[in-house]
Amino acid sequence: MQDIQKLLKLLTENNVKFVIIGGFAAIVHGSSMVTEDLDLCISFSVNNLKKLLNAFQGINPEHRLIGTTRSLDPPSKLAKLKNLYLKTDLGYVDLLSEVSGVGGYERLKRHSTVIDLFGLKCFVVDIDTLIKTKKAMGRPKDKETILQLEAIKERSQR
Amino acid sequence: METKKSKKTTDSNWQKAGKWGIDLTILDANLRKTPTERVMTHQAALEAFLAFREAGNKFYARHSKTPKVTH
Repeated sequence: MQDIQKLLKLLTENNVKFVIIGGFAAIVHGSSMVTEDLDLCISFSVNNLKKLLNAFQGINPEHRLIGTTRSLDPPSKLAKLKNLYLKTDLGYVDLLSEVSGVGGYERLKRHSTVIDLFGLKCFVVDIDTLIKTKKAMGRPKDKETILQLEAIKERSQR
Repeated sequence: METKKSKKTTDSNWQKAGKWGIDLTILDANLRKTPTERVMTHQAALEAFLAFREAGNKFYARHSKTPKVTH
């Protein structure tokens, strides 16, 4: 069960620094794709990870590994990781410390736009940067999303 | 003597997406929605997708040895 509204509410109420990226960012910009996980670029500072763990404490976050799950380490240990792939009661959440071709949270924030989602002000990677990062990854599965985003961008500029 | 210039037109990105098979009516409808409405539309589509997947898994569990589809 993916409940984006509740996830965003928990993150913003706890002042977690995040930028929405990946498939959900594409959906926010107008793509018709369907995705099961929420991809976020976050600051992997100990302070921000503390806030993240506070935000998720009631929704049973676990590392999502192939064939197994395990509970989370303290923020000081998590801060040494590059990415976190979590399973929660509200859905899958993938947390990235940086996005290839752009950089970490602070840099990505400069390539994002503030969008109102369910009354919450959220940073969402801008459409140009999203296209650029999807192209940089070169994954066949992103081909359709890139075409959709380029069409959306063109239509929005008319 | 008048010569005819061959007129080469390039497809717009919108046309390219349509030729690739993307349903432009859905994209057009999405662009008329607010970002929150787009996420809510996605939520409904995801719930349907998960329900279909679960139904498929149940069907194949009863009728064959096809492995269960997971995330």
